[in-house]
Amino acid sequence: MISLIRNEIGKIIKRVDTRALLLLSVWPLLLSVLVVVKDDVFKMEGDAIGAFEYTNYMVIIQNDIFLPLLLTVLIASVSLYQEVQKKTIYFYKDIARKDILKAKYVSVFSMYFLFLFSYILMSFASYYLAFCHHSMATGTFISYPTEVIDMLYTAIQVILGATLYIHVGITFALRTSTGMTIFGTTMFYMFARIVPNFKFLKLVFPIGYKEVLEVTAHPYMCSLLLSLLVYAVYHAVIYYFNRRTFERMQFN
Amino acid sequence: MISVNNLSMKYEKAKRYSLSNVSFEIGDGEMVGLIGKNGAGKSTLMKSICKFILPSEGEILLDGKNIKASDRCLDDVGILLEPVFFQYMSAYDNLAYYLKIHNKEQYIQEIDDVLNMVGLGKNRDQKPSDFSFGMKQRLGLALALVGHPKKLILDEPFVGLDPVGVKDLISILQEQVKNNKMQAIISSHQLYELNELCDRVLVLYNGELVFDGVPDFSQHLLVDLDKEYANGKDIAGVKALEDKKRVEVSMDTIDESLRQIMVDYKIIGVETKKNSLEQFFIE
Repeated sequence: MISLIRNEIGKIIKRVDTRALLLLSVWPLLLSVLVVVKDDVFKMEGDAIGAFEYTNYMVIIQNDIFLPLLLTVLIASVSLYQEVQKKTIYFYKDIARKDILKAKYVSVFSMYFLFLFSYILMSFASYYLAFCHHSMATGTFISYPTEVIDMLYTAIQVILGATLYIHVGITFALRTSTGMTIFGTTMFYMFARIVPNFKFLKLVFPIGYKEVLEVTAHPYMCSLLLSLLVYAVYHAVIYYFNRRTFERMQFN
Repeated sequence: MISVNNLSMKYEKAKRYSLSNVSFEIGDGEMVGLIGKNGAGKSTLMKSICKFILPSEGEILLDGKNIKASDRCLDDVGILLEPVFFQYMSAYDNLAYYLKIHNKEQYIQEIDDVLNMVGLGKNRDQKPSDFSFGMKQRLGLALALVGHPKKLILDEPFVGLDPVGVKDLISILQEQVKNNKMQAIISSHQLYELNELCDRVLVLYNGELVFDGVPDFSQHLLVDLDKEYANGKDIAGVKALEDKKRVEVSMDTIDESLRQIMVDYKIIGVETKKNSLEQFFIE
C-alpha cells in the first residue's frame, strides 16, 4: 500500500497540471520581484503587519481566488475519470480497488498540501525579502498576539473547507467528465460561499460555528473541535459512497 | 491453470447476455486461441479474467484461487488488452512504474532486454505519444511480457503490426510460452497467425462457447466421380459432399477407400484439400 501511494505520488508529480498547481505557490515571490521594478506595489492602508499576518492574508486570499482548488480538482479528474476512460487504469490489474482509490486520494490531497506548504514558505520569503522594507510592515514575526488565534482559526477553517471542495471534486471525478467535474465543483464552491449568509443554512458548513458558540468559555476551541468533527463526518460519508462506486465500477 | 466455470455476463441495460455459461480450462504450456465474430464476447471474457469487469455469474480460478475472493491474483499475469500508456512518461518509465506498483522492482534491470526483444530498444526514452500504432502495440507486448509472467492474456496482439512484426511476435510468443511453460489465451481475427501459434481453439458465438478443441486440419482428397455417390453404400473414410458427384476421402484410409470407390465408380478428377482455421471459423 505504501509503495502504491509512493509510486502514485511519483507519477502524478510528473504531470503538467500538477506542476501548474505547484507553480502557483511561487505567486507570493512574484510580489518581491515586482517591488524591485515598481515601488508602489503594496498600496495598503491600515495597521502595519508582521510576517505571520501577511502569510495568513496570502493563504486566505489565494483560497478565495479558487484557482489552486480548481487545479487540484483537475488533477483528481485526470487521475480518476481520465484514467478509467483512457484505460490506463488497466495498469493496476487486480490491486484491490479500495487501495487504488486510497492511493489516488492521498496523491491528490498531498499535492494540495504540498502546494499549501510551499505557498506559506513563499509568503514568508516574500515578506522578508520585499514587504518588510515597506512602511506597512512591522518587520516582526507576529505584530498582534491577541489576534493570532482568530487569524489561525480562520485559516484552519479555510483549509478545512478546501479539503471538502477537493473531496466533492473527487466525487464528481469518479462519475462524470472533467468539464462536468469542474462545473459541479464550481457550483458547490459558490453554494458554500453563500450558505453562511442564510440563517437557516448557517450551520451546514462549520465556518459559522464560532458565532453560535461564543456563549461558551472557549468559543474557538469548541468551534474548532466541532468543525473537525463535522468535516470528519462529511469526509467519511463521501468516502464511503465513493469507495462503493469505485469498487463496483466496470472498466470497459 | 486458468479455469473458467459457468461464466455469464449481462451488462446493465443490455437486452442479452454478453457471455452465457462459458466454461473452459487452460493448462501449463498451453496456448489457446479465442475466436469469434465482432460482439461475440471475446473482449468481455478477457476483461472478466482480468477483473476489469465484474461478471454476473460464475467463477474464474487462477491456479485454484478464485479471483473474485482475493486481490493480486494477476500479479503473474501479463495482459495486453489495449495498448494504452501514461503519455507523460517514457516507454521505460511506463514499464518501470508497472513493475513498481506490482512489487516487482527486481525486474527493473530487465526492462531494456524486454524493450530490445520487442524492437523498441532505441525508443526507450521516447514517450508513447510519439509512437506509431504498431510501436504502441509492441510496447503493449513489452508490458505484458515484463516481470516474468506465468500467464498471458492478449487481445488482438497482431493488430497494427507489419508482417515482420507479426513474425517476430509469433516467435517471441512461441519461445516464451513453451520455454517458460506459460499459459496463454490469445484473441485475434488474424486466423492464420493464430493457427501457427495455438494448441487449441475456443470459438465464441453470441456469448456462448460453441467449440473448444483442436479443429480438424487434416488433409483430404476431393474425388470427382462419374455418377452420384450412393449414400447407402458406406465406404470407410469416404464422405459425400453437397455436390453428390464429389466425395471427400480421408488420407488415413486413402488406399482402401479408393480401391473400393473404383469398384462402382469411375474417378474423373482429384484435388487435395487442407482445412484451415479460417475455413473452420467460417463454417
